[in-house]
Amino acid sequence: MRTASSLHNTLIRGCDLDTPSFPAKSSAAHGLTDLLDYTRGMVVQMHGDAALTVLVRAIALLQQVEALPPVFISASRDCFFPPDVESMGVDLSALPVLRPQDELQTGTMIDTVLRSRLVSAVIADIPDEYRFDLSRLSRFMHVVRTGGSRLVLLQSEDAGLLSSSVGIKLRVESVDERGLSLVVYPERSRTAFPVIRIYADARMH
Amino acid sequence: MHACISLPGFSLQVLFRRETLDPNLPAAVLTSDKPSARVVAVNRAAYRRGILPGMRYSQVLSLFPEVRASPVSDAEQKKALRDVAGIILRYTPDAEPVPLETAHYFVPLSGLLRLFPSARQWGEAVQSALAEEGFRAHVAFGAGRLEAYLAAKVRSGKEESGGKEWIDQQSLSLLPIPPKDLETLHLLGIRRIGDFSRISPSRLKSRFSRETVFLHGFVGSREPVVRLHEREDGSIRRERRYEPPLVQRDSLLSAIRILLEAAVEDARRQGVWIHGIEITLTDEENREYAETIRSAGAQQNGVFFLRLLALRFEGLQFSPIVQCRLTLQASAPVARQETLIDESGICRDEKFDAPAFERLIVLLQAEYGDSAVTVGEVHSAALPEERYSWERVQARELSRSWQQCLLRRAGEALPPAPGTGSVTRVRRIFEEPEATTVLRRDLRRGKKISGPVLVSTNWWRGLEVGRAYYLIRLSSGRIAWAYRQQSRSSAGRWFVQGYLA
Repeated sequence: MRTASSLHNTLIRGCDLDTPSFPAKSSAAHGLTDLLDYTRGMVVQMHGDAALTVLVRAIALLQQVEALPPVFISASRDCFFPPDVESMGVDLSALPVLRPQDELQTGTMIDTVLRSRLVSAVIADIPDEYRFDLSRLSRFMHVVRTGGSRLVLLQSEDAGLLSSSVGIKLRVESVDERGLSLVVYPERSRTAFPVIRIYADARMH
Repeated sequence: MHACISLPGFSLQVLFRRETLDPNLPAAVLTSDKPSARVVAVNRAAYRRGILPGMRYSQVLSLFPEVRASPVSDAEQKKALRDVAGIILRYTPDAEPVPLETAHYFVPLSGLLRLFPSARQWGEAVQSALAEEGFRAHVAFGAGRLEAYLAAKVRSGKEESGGKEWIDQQSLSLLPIPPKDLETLHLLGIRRIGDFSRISPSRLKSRFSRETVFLHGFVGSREPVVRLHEREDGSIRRERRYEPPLVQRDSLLSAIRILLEAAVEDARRQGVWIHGIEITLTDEENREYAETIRSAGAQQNGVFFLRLLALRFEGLQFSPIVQCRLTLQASAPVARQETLIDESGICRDEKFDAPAFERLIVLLQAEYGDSAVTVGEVHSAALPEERYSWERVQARELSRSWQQCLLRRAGEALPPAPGTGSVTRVRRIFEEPEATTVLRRDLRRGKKISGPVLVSTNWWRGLEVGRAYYLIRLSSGRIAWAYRQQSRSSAGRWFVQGYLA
């Protein structure tokens, strides 16, 4: 597995964002593998119109490289379309999808799962209006850091859930008209952090 | 005993509440405020004149110029539903909306009959409170939810239990089964609830919509029965009555602990292992509460089960308990193939602690309910909403799936590495396709990125669903996964199935 130190060598820097040129097809996988490596022990907030696609790709990678399973917590009214997720290489039968009823349950569920230290990552798809207070976020951060797992909070918009001091914020956007060129970049520090570009296709049925 | 409060023709009631209308004049609720809008609900006067749901407003207006018609927005309906819920909650602490129905509520009558002389008087009080706010309601009673619901539908108003025979004889059309499924069931000669409940759940799941499968479970009151062992060796039962009754959760748990310890001791003596426990609590009025707890693997540890029970009883409301019956599901240990593999270390990963992972899943199920832990299943079907389902999963199954995942990785048959080739944009799917007026306008104006992809089902049998799918960039920048209805009943209507995410 590639290490975090190789990030800058393999990924395109944020300043290249204005002149998109797609990297070789395997770079997306390397970029995501590096990103997974980099985010170990961190709380990450991901948002943007293409964040779920990148996360599902990351889940497929996690299922291939990690000894512990990833867990998906779906607190939103809508959820990923399972046939798409399966076609991305995710083994659905080995991906537990937890369904909390409200914000409080979501928080306690994340806490219980992280505290068990039996998962490689917790991906929580939460509505934009959910707000975890700082004490809870600090607890998540502590448990994630000591357990060496990851907590990814997925929201459609940046609702100010995390401050940059607590975790890292990543935005995933599509940069072309058809929504097929995706860019992953850190919020508010575009030039200091590498950008991952991914080329996608879309299915109609 | 349960009550079912129903407010029939709710959208029409909201219309009458908003406008001062003469009930003797024909009135109708429309989908929107324009001549091409469809009629969705009509009052009795309109029905007698031949105005039916599905007709166009212009058509109705040309035939009956005196008709009063207006749309009722979702927001308006939601506000009215909040008002109704507020009124009902004045008369009960515990009301739940009927799934798949609007403005229908179940109310368990436990405890309420101490405040009201009879169920009928309680029902009349609720009805008159709703009538004061301009709502027309019907309250029916039954021994269970299904019986109360059916009684509300047939307006029998019965207080006595109708019994299983009565339920079995009722027409299937009383249940909110989607029209397409109802038609198919009728073609199969299934017209009564009794016949419907006898269909095998697995067959139903592969051929009918999720709503129908859900209603089948509701009718049969089926809980998923999971057999951890093929051979059931019997059960161990302990029972005790309490005088005075147990009123506090702590005292109840303490009483259960004593029963459980004795039962576990019996299990040890008999050399059997426990894989589940059933608890039946009886309250002062002879009502029974039953809870089932299953462990991931068979064991003889009573403390573990007690912990799961404490989680399940957390937040549960109950009346004073006079009797507790505890049944252990137990069986003799059986040497199984998977145990042998585990012991040889073939699929054991040093970091993955399968028993601990199973315990975690069992704890989550105990605390948040069995349906809180699911896995996605993909089916082969034409319509997107039928191509997947969320299935409850047992801890052991989940841990085995992950172990197989690890095993696959270690073997030669490795799936293609993600990242080689482009990725697919994952779609989010709504539970129900959305179709608000604003969204439809946005869809019509939005730029079509790709499509149409035509999907049609069952056209050879006349049960046709026709959809033309598009990807449309909306004004917000999001890309909607939308379709245009092409079937005869609602041709041209736009729906959003989901979004690229």
